[in-house]
Amino acid sequence: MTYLLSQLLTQSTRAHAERPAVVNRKDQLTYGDLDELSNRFAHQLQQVGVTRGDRVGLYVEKSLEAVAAIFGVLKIGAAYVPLDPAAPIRRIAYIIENCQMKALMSTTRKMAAFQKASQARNTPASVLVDDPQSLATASADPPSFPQAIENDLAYILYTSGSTGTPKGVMISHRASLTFVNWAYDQFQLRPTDRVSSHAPFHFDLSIFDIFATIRAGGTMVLVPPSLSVFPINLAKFIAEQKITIWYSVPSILTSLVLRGNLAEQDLSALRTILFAGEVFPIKYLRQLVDFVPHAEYYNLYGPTETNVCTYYHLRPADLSPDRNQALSIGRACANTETFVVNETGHIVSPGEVGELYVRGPGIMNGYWGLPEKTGTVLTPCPVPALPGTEIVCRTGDLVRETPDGDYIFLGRRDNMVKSRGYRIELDEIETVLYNHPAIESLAVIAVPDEEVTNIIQAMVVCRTGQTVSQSELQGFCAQSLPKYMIPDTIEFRENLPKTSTGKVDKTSLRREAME
Amino acid sequence: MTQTTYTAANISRIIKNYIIQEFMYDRVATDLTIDTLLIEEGIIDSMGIFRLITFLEEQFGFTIKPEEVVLESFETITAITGLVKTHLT
Repeated sequence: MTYLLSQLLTQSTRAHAERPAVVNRKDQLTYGDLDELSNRFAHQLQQVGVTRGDRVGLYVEKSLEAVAAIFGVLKIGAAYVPLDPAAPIRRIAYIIENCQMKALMSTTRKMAAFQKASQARNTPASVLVDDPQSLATASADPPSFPQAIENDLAYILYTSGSTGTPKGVMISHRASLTFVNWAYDQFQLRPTDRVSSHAPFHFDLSIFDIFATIRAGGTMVLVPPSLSVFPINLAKFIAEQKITIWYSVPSILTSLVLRGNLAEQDLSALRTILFAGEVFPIKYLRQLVDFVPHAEYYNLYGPTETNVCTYYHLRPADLSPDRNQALSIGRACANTETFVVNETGHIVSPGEVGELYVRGPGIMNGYWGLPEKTGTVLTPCPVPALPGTEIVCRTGDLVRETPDGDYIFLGRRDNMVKSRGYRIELDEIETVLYNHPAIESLAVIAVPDEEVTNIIQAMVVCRTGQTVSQSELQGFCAQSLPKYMIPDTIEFRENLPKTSTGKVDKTSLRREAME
Repeated sequence: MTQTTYTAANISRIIKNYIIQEFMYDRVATDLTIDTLLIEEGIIDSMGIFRLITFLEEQFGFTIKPEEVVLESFETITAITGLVKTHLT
């Protein structure tokens, strides 16, 4: 019976020990290698005291070792917490303390830099993933099977939080497997598949790349992050690596269409293209389909809190030239139920606008250490016919159901926006900027952009007699925020427009910025 | 515009100064050498590359073709200097 993510690796190793599990540039691990390396990491973690239920941070660039580390953590019933290796030290230190991490896995170089910069009071135990000596002394035998159950946490993914600090989305084995099993069946993954691993491990798109691929006995092909800056190199990589299933945010696919010279690449191996995280403008999707007409295309939808909960299989009619409606996010995945609820808490009729609610085993356990915030998102089910207490997850996304039974995404209930597929709470950026001594008032707005969904812009009023430059403020943000949350532009003003209630009038600022 | 003669050394210096000023706000500028891996170290990302290209085009007065925007030409300050030199000769 499979109810823990680590079992996916154990089972595929039994069936495909010699097949490649992970490829990183010229290096690779077979299933046998990956299983063995993750066993060694598991023993090392046990040696520093990690046991079932503990949190273990992964502070490491995407690599063969990082994949093995994930399975090492899971094999002893602990939860992994993937950290953005490029995030500011302050943010890393916050997450370490916030989820009371028991151990941190990293490379010698990153660990030294972190310890030097953080001066953290309670540094967790460290396990180095690139230290051959201590690895060699750790046993390669499987650790004893963890006495974990499917409700236990498998990982915590930190996302932008509106109060100024990130919040940790807790995902159980059961929730993750609900999605992984669905995806495995839906996309018919096979041992011959070579699946891209484009998203960073702290981003929930990576869950498909890692676990659906390993479940199938396929090969995860790690995409070097530097390639995303150069679409020509990325397109060449997809062709050379004979990727069969690609999964990324739409803005990467758009950059391939616009600047990747796709016509010159042999992309015949690509059989399925999946995208999620933001709206894919039809005009770029149409061009992509022209370049890669033989592939199947799916739009996947779901916030980190629910995993992927709806999906849409692209049909030729969606690309017809007279179409002006956004691409649908489709309907609920297997073993998942969705419904649309209005402001008074009632289910609406098809065609009416409301918030999308998700019911099923795929939803999160809550936000780490934030019971009140959790309570606003995980709420009792509004469907009266259900017996007992059933908890559902509010997505915060406004949708409308079409006559075909598919959902159309319309926008957010709150201040969260997407940029390059990342979710960003504008309030979090504002909170950080307000700490700057030269700033009197400010507003952070999202300006719609065709290629990256939104550009983040800050409007700043300085205190009388004070000045500060754009790059100084960006540097100030970079001490607390990851790169994708730093405002792309900062505009200095004498004052900001106010609403009748005295709040900054963001609607008019946004209107101005779009002109 | 007056014709300026650039040596490899002053091309590199101009590029380095620009990168420090525009992209190094979150790190120690002295860490930057002509062989620092700009992309791999995350100093220049997908938005930054457009700004850098615009700067090079305006500063040195030529146009960078889309097919020239490849990793090999932008990996380090040395590589970018090489790209600029092929356009100036």
